[in-house]
Amino acid sequence: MDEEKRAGKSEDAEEVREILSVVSKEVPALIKGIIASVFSEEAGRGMGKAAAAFYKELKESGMPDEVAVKMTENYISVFTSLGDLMKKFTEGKEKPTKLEKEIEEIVEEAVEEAREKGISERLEEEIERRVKEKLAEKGLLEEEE
Amino acid sequence: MKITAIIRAGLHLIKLILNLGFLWLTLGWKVRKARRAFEKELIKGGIPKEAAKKLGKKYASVKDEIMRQIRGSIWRMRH
Repeated sequence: MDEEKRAGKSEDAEEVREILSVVSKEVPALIKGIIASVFSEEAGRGMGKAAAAFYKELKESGMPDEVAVKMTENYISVFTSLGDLMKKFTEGKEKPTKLEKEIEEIVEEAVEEAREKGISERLEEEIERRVKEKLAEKGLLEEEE
Repeated sequence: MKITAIIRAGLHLIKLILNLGFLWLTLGWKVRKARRAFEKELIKGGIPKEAAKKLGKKYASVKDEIMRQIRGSIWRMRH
């Protein structure tokens, strides 16, 4: 029994060693590749050429200098939006809007009330009625604006 | 056998940490080099020097954004 346990633990250690061996080779190579694709001299030169060509076209079409520079900045921000992309990945699910929260509260209130009164038949109608009221309220507010 | 595997796993881990550390240290230098090449091409293409510097700053800001996100993720994992 002891020998079996020892053999099992040995196998686990060997497995961990193999995993770390692969990870220590592949992860740095992967990160290096990603960095090289964006932050190498070659990549910078390529991006500079693309941005310069874009600017040149804008100037040739008669665009004022300031506007052409601003548009070139927006063009470059397509590549720099990598930061925004990462933000979306790390922040995860979007937070619910105010309206979604209010609807959730209405549903919870209606369910609680129905539970207290022992009514379950008209629950669906009641929830629908209250949600429609809330949406109509929001619709009215938007029209006024 | 087990001890050997643990020692070798530890060495791989140290190798990984050293490689990542080296990448992190050289990242700033690589970004500066790429930015200089980027600005040079912009000026060659006819963009005014001031505008090229501004665009170069925006190009380099990606690295800061990525580092901020990584630090934020690590902080969120801890808490």
